[in-house]
Amino acid sequence: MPIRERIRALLPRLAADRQFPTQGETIFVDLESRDVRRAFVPRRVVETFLGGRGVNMYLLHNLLDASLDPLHPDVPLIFGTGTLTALVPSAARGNATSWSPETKVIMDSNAGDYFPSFMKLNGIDHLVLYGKAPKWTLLHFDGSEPRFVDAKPWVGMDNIDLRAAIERDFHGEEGRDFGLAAITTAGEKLVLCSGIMAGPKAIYARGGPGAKMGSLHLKAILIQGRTADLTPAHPHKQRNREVAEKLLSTSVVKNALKKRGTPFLYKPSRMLGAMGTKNNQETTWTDKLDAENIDPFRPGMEGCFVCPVNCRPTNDMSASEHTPHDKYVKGDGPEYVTLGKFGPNIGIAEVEQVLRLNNICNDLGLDTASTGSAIAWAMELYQRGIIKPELDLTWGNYDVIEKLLFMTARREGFGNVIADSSRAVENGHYPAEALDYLMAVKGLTQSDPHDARILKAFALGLAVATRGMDHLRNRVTLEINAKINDDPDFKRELYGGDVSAQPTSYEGKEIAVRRCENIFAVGDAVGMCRFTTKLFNSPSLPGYEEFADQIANVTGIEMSREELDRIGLNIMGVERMINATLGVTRKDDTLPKRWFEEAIGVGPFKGEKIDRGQFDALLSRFYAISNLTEEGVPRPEFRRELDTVLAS
Amino acid sequence: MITVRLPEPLRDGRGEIVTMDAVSLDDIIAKLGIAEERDELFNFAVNGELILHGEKKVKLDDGDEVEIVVAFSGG
Repeated sequence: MPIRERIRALLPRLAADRQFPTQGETIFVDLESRDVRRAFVPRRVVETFLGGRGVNMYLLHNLLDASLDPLHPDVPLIFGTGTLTALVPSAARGNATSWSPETKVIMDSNAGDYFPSFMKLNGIDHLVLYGKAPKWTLLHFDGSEPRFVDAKPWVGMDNIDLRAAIERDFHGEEGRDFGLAAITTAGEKLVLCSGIMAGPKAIYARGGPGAKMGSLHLKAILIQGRTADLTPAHPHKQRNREVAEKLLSTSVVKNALKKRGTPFLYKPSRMLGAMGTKNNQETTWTDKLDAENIDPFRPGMEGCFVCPVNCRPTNDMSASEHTPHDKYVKGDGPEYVTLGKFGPNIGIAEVEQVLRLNNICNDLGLDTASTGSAIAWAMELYQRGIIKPELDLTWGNYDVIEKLLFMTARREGFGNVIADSSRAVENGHYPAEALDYLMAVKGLTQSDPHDARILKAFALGLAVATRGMDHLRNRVTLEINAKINDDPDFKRELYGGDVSAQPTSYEGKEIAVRRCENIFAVGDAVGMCRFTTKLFNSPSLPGYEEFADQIANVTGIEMSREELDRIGLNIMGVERMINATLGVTRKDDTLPKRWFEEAIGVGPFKGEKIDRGQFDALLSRFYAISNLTEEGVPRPEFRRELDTVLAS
Repeated sequence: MITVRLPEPLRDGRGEIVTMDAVSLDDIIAKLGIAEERDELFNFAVNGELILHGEKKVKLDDGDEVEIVVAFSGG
């Protein structure tokens, strides 16, 4: 059924009026005809999927025609903002959802900085975009009113120039006056590893959102002003102060995130022998990339809207003689993901080189996880003689890597191959044997550099994550912490069941992954940053208790911790239902071949790999406690419950 | 003698490296007086190998190098 008919069928099932204080509209924008429709998400849907990522999935389930191609203009791109976004400290996030052109499963990517907050500040909870604009368009919301602006002046611009031009042309400052989500040249060229930039570095990164937005001929969405009535149902500021105090007193925030940000993670992964190196052929790398070696290049820390943490390091290499002094001498980042993907994973050992590649990716709008992984994959294929490109893809060949990023963003030469990311075999660039070396699950290359052959809970999480091989959906990060592993009572309380103290054991790891997947999905639905959500790096961060209190204060809707946990399960359930229509089955909840067949070669866990039999049993246990069938889809009664709301 | 390398948050006026006699990791915690501050964020590494569980079973020998590492894995 065409998208317009689907929307016509959906609209009468939505509400005409606000269902609770602070609720924003769901706005349907036909970029081709410029038709705009508005509605509110019904209370029952909110009680089942909450908001943000959860309601995005409700909308996608209703609007997706799986007989099309992900880049077809009838496949919508949906932006959602969390229930608490812009209203609670550290809740500054929102999701962009569609059918991924990179993975061919769900695309669901989360970003912060300012754009999701400006959606909320202007009364827009969800923005459903479809149809291909006749010419490149900038969608300008002055408040909640959209205006279709000819984007010709900004087409061809990358992130640095584009953001400066928008500030100049629209007379405002990003973050203070407006939020901006925009694609770069890479998105215009439908590069599958391109994202939608939500700030200088903030990016809706995973699954090819840049390409999806480019397929609609949409260059940018600008939301200007602060026009919404966000008066909460009950006073919420006192509880906000408590949430902020809790955040700032938590050790991981106080001692790590506020000081150096996520690059701190590099060292423990390296020492563990779990640092993905040279496309995971090796698992440790130089200490020259430890976080303290980035200190000389870090002038300060930045943060997202209403976040007291400020975990994003900036960089400035002006004092270095080892890097060109052009526009890439300064920037935002890097995060640990980029440090790993553009350091050990491609054989780079110099801090300045990693920082420069980080700054270039931020400008070009490239997802560093997918792009770094695609380059590492190509380098291994080159090393093995499977491909013979025109470029010398020797590990660590910095000059070629830098050049390749620009070629990728413009789909030039071998850059056209990297631009096809994990689809390089399907698109005829590589022979089929190349797939043996692709470090991906469900078509998505691994998000972070941590090699999960050691920690079996990490491995299960990467296998079952609904969007593909990504740690941000369910990682049991605390498995790395000895103090928690050595306290069985505390660990049992934390995860709601017995989880083995041994990181290499398969026992009980399904319980921990289930608990994390639920709370992280709820975190996405309310708009909370993953870094400051309970169980992600700390047992002491805000979790269901704080979410429930502030949902009640902001919306007037009372939810228990158990009900929130159920919402997390519901979100996973609808995501698996969508994936099932796209052909995903149990065989896709797996891991790269290398992790089953090749053992870790260094460090205290030398010899570790994934045992197929034990992994399969672990997967079955995970399905059983997740109310899923042996094929990984919701059991009939669970499905009926979800269908009742999805189709009501 | 055991060499202990401390992360910034646990130095408390001490240098990055301190030496002491110790036979266990608990010993080190007690002698440094960091029982309160040493929360789940900090792991021990002995001779470069990160300890993920079973800290109480770790026996130290003269000349061992212990490092307290800021260890988290979600970023």
